[in-house]
Parts: sequence; C-alpha cells; structure tokens
Amino acid sequence: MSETKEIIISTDKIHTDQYLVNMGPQHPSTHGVLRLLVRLEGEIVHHIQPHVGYIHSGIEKMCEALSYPQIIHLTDRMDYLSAHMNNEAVCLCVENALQVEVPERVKYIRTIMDELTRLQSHQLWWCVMGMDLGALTTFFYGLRDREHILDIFEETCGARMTLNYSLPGGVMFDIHPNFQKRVKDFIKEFRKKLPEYDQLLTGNVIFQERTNDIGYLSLEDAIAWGVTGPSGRASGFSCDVRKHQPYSAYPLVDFQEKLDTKGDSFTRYRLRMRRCKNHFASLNN
Amino acid sequence: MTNEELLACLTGEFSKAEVKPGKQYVEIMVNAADLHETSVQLKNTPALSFDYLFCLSGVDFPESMQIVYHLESTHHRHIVVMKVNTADRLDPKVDTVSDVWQTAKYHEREVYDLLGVKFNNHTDLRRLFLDDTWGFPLRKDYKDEVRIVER
Amino acid sequence: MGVKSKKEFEANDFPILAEYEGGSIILAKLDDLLNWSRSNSLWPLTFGTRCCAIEFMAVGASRHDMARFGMEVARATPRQADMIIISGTINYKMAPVLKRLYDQIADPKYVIAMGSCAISGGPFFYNSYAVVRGADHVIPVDVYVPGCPPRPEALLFGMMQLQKKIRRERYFSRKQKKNAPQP
Repeated sequence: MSETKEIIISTDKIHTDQYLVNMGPQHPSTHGVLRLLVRLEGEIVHHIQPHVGYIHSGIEKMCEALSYPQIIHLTDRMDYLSAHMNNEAVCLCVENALQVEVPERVKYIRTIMDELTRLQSHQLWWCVMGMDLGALTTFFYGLRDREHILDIFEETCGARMTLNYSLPGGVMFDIHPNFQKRVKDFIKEFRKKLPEYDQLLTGNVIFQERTNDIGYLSLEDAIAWGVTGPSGRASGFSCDVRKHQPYSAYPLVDFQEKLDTKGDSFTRYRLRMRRCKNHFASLNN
Repeated sequence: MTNEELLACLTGEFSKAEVKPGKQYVEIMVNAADLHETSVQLKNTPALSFDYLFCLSGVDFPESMQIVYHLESTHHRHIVVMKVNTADRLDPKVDTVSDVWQTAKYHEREVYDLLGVKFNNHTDLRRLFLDDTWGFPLRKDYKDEVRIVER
Repeated sequence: MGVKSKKEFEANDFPILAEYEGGSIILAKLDDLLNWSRSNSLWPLTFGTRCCAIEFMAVGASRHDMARFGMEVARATPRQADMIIISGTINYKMAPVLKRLYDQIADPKYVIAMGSCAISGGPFFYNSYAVVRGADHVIPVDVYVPGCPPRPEALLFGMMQLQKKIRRERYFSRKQKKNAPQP
C-alpha cells in the first residue's frame, strides 16, 4: 500500500512543460501549404497559430488588368478541385451586372457540371482523409473512381481539372453526345461503390475512435467564425447557398439539406450528393 | 424579413446612418465613428440579429478606403450590406468588429495586409499573407519594379 | 524492387559470366550498377502547392501507377527522398522553404519542375506581385514538364526522361558511355 502511494507522489513530481512544434508548410497532412505553430502539452493541443499565404499569388491584382473572360482562367486555379464552381461564381456575377439572361440549357449544364465537380472533390477528400489516418487503400479506391468523372470532363471540354468551361453568357461548348449516357452510367456504378466505401472506412474502429467526439465545434462558434459548407452543416448551421439563394438550375432540383449536430458530416453528405445527382440525370434533356 | 421591411426597420433604428435600397441587398452607410456601436446594435437587436458576417472587403476609392461588410441573419435569413468610409486614404483607420463577429479577425488582417487599413483595438493585427517589408499591393498606386512584370 | 529476370541485366549491358543454380555472376562497371539502382528507385518528396499536386496524386494512384517505375514511395521528409517534384506555384514566401527542403535532400538529388508555374510562373507571370517566375530561380532543375496542369502521362514521361539522365551519369570514370541513351 505504501509503495503505491510512493509511486503516485513520484509521478506528481514529473515536471511537464508546454512546448512549441512547427508543422508545415511542407507537411503531408496539410495538403497544400499551411504552417501551424502548435503549442502542445503531451498530446493535448493548447493553442494553434496558423500561418497562411504560402500559395498567395495575387490573383486580385492580376484581375485588374484582365477582361472578364480572361479572369476565368485564373479562378480555375484558385480552388483547383472545384474549378467549375469558381468559374460559375464569376460568370453569375458578370451576368448579374450586365443583366444577361442565360438559356435554360446552359443552366442545366452548369448545374450538372457543378455537381460532378463537387463529387470528384469529395472523392479526393475522402480518399486523402483515409490516407492520413493510415488507410492507404482508400486513396487507391477514391482516386480510381474519381478518374471516371475526370474522363467525363475531358470528353466535354478537354481538360481534366481546370475546366475553363463556363463563360460569362454561357458555356464554352455544348456537351458531348456521350455525356448523358456516361453520367448515368457513372451514377449507377458509383451507387454500387458507396457501400464499399462505407465498409472500408466508415465502420472501421480506428476511424471511429479518431473522429468521434474529436474537434467539437458548437453552432454558435460555427456561425461566429463563419464556418460554412459540410463542416458548418455538421454543427447544425443551415448554410447551403443552393437552398437559401438558389442559382442556375438549383431551384428546379429536389434535394434536401442534411443537417447534423455532431461530428463527421461525411457519409450523410455524400448520400445527399448522390441523390441530387440522380435527379439531375433524369432532368437533363 | 423582406428587403422593404428591412429598409423600413433599419431607417427607424439608425437615425445617424444612411439607409438605401441597393440593387440586390439593402445598404447601410455608417460613419466611421459609429461603426462599432452600429455593429453591436445590428447583432443584438432581436428583430435584426445579424449574427453571420459572410464577407468583409476593402475597396480603394480615390479619396478614401471603404470597408464593406456583408451580414446575414441565420435566424431571419435577411441580408444587409454595411459600408464605412475611412477619413484618410493613405493612413486609413477604422474600429475593429472582430469582437462582434469573430470571423472578422482574419478578414481584417487580410484587409490590413493587402490594403493597409488599420483596425483599432484589433487584438492581433499582423500581416496575413506577406512579409512585413512589403507595401500594400492592392492599392491602386502600388508600384513594384522588381517583382511585377507589367503588361 | 527486385531483379526480375536475366533480361533486365542483359538490357543494361551487364554480361553474364556464369550461371549457377539459384544465381549467376555478372560483370558490370560500378557506375552502371549504381545508375541502374538509382534510376529504378527514385523516391519523390511529397511537395505540392497547387493543381499539379493533385495530378501528382493521380499519377501515384491506380490508373497511372508510377509504382511501375519504382517511384511510388513518396516520402514526407526530405532526408529520405531522392528527388523533388515541384508541383505548383512557388511564391516569394514559399521560395526559402523550397530552398531549405532542397538543401536537406541527400546527394545525389534531382528536381522535376512540373507545370508552367514551376517552369516560368505560368499564368501568374504578368502583373502578379507574389509569384517567383520559375522555380529555377531558387534551385537547379533537371527536367521540365510543361502543362497547366500536365497530364499524368506527361509527368510519367518526364520522370522517365529523368531516369535516362541518371543512367548517363559517371562517378568513377570520366568517359561517357558510347551507346548511352539520349535524353
């Protein structure tokens, strides 16, 4: 008995300090270049000071000297995983300012391309998230299926990622004759793949342990810090622009905004993508 | 609230500010001195409750810098655009709103970095993207002989 | 990476002197052996700044699979890497970091500049105040792969060019190999 007591006293005497660790800017888990100064005590993170700007390229300054269609080529490279959405944002802005009405067909094409872009972006996110947790298989699975979408893009406009497809007033070319068929085929295929994804990662004990109850963000914080997208919606912040300020063909599409109050927005979000994409395919003329 | 109701409500609430219907959203032009007070009021009045700042931008005008705040209420789902002009263009200063909307902390750092607008009472006003030795590149009169290849 | 067949040695001009059960004896110059092993196990550093980094990932993944050329082992630390693929824009804030990473890679080290940003600044050449116009202002580059971003096939081709370059290197003899492949 006395021995155990001694041990407890001796552990109390171990002196622990907080220490600073520099993560990045070149760090495999930052996916991009982000430098974090992390103050740690053991495994507990006390404070993080982020340093950004390692890929700041002054696009705003460049746009001052460019015409609107030329800007499209730069917005592609802002967020290269959702290049089409960035382009569309510029296009909608210019069209709004010029009071130009685009044809219905263009709206549909843009919306479908939007969703395809979103889907490939989520696929990459999913596979890379698995990879960071040590599940390298997800990396191969996710990128394998992502290539199918990239093929569709390539057939439509010639580029794999930086599409340059949307222009103020319309889109660059009409869709390829194969487009409709390939999108439908892809949806059919991808629906089969989703359970496979779930089996691989979602139910995994290690994954569950490392994501459940980690990094909690309250609704108030999400709103105060302006956390939107799936992260915001996982905290219960209804912030889907497609619902609240619908653009292109979104008013005509029947989909639901999924909200959650905790954690891992992941599977639900993907299911929603699937549903709305399914609907698009049937809508397409 | 619709834009018309919002317009009426804001006109009644803020006598010192200039409220006008914009093309898309209602705009409210605030004096630099009243900025912080107005922000607190916009956020805390229950009928307005603008709790979500979704865009903060700086604009370089010939006489002054303008800071534009896009605010949304997550409860009522209405949007207002708040604008404030600084007194001086070369050494612009405005009060911070980062204690009202936390997200403004980083947005203000960005505006400070690229346009050189100083935010009073900001707790951590450092440059965000660039080194301390740079000028303010998004100002219209910014010149850099070394780093910029002009066309 | 193991030795697959006799043919692999014969293709590299290593004459087989004698064959035994379970192995054989080859005659080779040290240079050739070194180059053969170096060029077939190039480990890249995971260094990506922009769109090209995504294509770099695509090269590593199932369809394009750079493991076929012994390059799949992307290391997170420069001390274990042999080459660096600059995939993306380098700006003035990133340039010192890139230089330091390059310095930390053990010799011999190689550099591939992937995409027009790394080659010349690319789309950010004019009117941008933050972008370095070409990564070769910071570190020496061996192979340039043009494109914005380059297709995975293009990157694979660039990597194979780098392999060819490595196979021509001489450490112990001054003479160039006569029938060395031209890059």
